[in-house]
Amino acid sequence: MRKVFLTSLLIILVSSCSVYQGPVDSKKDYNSNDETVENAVFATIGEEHVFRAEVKVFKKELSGMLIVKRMNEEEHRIVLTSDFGNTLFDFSIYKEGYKANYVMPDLNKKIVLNMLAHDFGYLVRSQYQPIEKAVNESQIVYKSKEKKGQSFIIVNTKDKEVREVIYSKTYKPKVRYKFGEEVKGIIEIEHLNLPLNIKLIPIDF
Amino acid sequence: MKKFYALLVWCVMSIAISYAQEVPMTKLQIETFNKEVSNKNKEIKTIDTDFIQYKNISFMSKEIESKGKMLLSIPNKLLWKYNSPIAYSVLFNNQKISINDQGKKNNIDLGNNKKFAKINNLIVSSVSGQMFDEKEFSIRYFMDKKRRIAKMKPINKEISQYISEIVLYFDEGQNTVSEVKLIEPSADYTRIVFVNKKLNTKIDEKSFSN
Repeated sequence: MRKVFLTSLLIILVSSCSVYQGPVDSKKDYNSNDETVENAVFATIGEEHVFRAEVKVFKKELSGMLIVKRMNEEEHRIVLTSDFGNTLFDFSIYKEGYKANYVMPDLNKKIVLNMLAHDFGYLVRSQYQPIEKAVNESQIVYKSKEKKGQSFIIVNTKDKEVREVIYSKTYKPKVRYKFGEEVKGIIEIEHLNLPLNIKLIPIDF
Repeated sequence: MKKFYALLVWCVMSIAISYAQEVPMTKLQIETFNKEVSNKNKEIKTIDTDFIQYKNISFMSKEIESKGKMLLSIPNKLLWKYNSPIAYSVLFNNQKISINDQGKKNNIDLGNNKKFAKINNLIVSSVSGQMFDEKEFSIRYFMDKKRRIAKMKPINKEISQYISEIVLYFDEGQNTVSEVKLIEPSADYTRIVFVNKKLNTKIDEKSFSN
């Protein structure tokens, strides 16, 4: 009896601790890859984007404007303002790391800043060097190694556009980015381990 | 002939510069200005105005524009109703804020948040021009050919972390604010320009529901 209990416990542990493989049926679906994947959304230098940002955090809802601009090869500038116009944060995002140009005192906590920089760093990233890919009829799933964890880039086979990026730690997906899945231009950032979701609706200005 | 053109250019340029240039008010001008604004304030019961909000961010090629309507009923009801680029309204009513975001409603009780209450007071008093409080701000007064200008730096350190300066513009011949500029610690700023302003018209109480 004890043996059965231990074996089943071990099976549960092993199965729940299996390495996250992204939206594919099995690890075996992946083959090696040497293609570079481009996400064109924030890739153009000098292009200015303004979004209405709807943030749901726990049971609270906040809104404001998110402004994104690729300044040069190295830097994306990202600003979130309230509806009244005052700046909540202003980041420069680089390939490695970020710089907070201004942060409203209430948000100025390292854990918050790191999370925001991480979230928006993946949002504006325009290039990936995946090590593996899994191809099916409608999509290609690319797997890319990251400093901490991995990311899965889902590309639509028809238009070759990036539809989704999932950032994961070894065992669990953490953040999912959806690029215009339902309506073109709308971006959703969904945290899979905490109740924080951000919806970005493009605004003509 | 060349000399004449050079002189002409010099004249035009110096007129343009002096037209845009702000000069500090004299003591007497400040006294008169304060008296006029404060007398006008005593008369104000309501303000009904359209507004255009311009957000200026240093790295953007142009300002981001929002438009809407503002209703103020002294002493403590203020409605900001944006209709462009999205429908969004914020109602300050006594100690409460209610937000209507395209039909989704949210309430915030100001009683619990002193900082928010202070910022709310700042907004109410800036649009009605009741702000020349020397205890709260260090104020400098200027004028150019078209406007009288009050530049106010918050003395309270907590507030100055959010707003480094508030500039109020009063168009010629007017004793109510025609433009507010809120400058942030980063030097980015928001300008709110009031147009079609009507004072002391009867505003239906129902307008202050959100």
